[in-house]
Amino acid sequence: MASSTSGSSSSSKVVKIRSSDNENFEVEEAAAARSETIKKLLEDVGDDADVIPLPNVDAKTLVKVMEWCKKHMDDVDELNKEEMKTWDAEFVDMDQSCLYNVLLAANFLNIKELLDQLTQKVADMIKGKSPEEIRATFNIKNDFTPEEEAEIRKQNAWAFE
Amino acid sequence: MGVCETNKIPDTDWKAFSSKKRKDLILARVPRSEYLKLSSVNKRFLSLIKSNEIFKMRKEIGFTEQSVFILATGEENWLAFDRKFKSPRKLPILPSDFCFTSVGKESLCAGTHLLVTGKELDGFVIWTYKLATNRWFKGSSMVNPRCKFASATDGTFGYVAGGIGIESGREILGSAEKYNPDDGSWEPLPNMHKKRSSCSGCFLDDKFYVIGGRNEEEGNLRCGEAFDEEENTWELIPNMLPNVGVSEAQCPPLVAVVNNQLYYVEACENEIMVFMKKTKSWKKLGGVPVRADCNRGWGVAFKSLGNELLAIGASSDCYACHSMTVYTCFPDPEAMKLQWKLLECGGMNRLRNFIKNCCVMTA
Repeated sequence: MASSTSGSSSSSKVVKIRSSDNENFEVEEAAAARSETIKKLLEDVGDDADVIPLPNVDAKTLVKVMEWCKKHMDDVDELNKEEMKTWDAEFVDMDQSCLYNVLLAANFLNIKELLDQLTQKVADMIKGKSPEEIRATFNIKNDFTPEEEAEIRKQNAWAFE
Repeated sequence: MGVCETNKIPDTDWKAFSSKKRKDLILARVPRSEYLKLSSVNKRFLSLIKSNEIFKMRKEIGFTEQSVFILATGEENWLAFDRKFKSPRKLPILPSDFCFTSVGKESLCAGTHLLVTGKELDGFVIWTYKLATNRWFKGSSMVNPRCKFASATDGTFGYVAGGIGIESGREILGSAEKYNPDDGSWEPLPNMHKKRSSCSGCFLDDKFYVIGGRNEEEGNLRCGEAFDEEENTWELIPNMLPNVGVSEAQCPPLVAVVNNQLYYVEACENEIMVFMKKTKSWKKLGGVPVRADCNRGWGVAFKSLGNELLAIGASSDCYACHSMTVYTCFPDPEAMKLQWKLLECGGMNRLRNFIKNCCVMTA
């Protein structure tokens, strides 16, 4: 197990990526290629690539995203599925501003699985909250008139029972 | 590199979630029980929740949940339960006349619609409950209005077949129709091989099966038929139901499909069986925990609930209890006997143990 992991990482190619705040990172190609965006850029530039600039993602966010990509580099076998689930749950348990940034980065970098996990995390944050709490958490403006809101609440009375 | 220079990052909260589509996807992943609450957050939330879009998205991303709709004896309202039978809620009162309330009804689900068919003073009517708007409305009529028909859904459309024609001198029908919840329309399908009423329907191997029932020429039918939509034809399956005594007033066969396997509750023996597709024979899987044998199968619900079987009715364990009991099980066709689990469910115990209608919606 340990030898195969180190074996794959030592033999795999490394690519350079650059964050919006001009920090350079060296990442295994297999990890970086979890991003469809980076994968496509790599295909376009071929071996001539010096460093891939990612002007929409800052260093802090990029570190986070690449942490996920590295963990999800290889296909997971059945045995490790539970462990991976736990890891993923801990990974998405981050503060809200960080969550926004990683979600936007995952969107830009086109990493579907990560995007799904983060989308679910935000959905879980909505779960169990009152409309007021949802507005406060996500800075959403209440654009109903008091009359409109009262009417909707009346119609949905049972939902708050 | 030009590719990277689009997609500027804004810095405010909900607005910052990249795209409208992403925000909608977030809401699609919230449990459905929270939806009416979400609709009072703001106008954008409201319009999304009340549209069918969010349910289409849930289906696309495989994030659907089951709801069980029940009309029990002595109840004015339909009740809706989630899959775990926690948090029951009343649907708004069905605004029909008293005639509809007092006569027998059929129900089926198609997409996010619950259809309840029956007779009002002015004639046959289909009352439809729309999940998105939490409202009842009168739906368009079938091509051949009918009662005592078989019905099933493939998850998107509703299919009905056979029954007794309301407008054709109470003749037993061999015709079939398909309901499209997107525009509320009915479309005729080819006729079955046999006319039949009091038959049951289900989806198995992507085909609409109609099983059992009876007609004037042959009496009780053991045969089934399967509708292949691509071929647009019905295949007759002789002797599909096991050979057991069926009385005149027997309820339509209690059938349910889980993991593409067909299960059947034989009401006389109160026994469950699975259909062995290869040999077209039935394998017994022990008793059902509800008393299907009390009223020749009437009053009991036997349905599929995602990857589980659902049985509701009077408990077989407690002859003195008159309240409703709910059992589920993950069926194993290879087992000798199925392992049923009694659900603790709030609000069910006060219900009388005779179910008039029961329908499962996946949305």
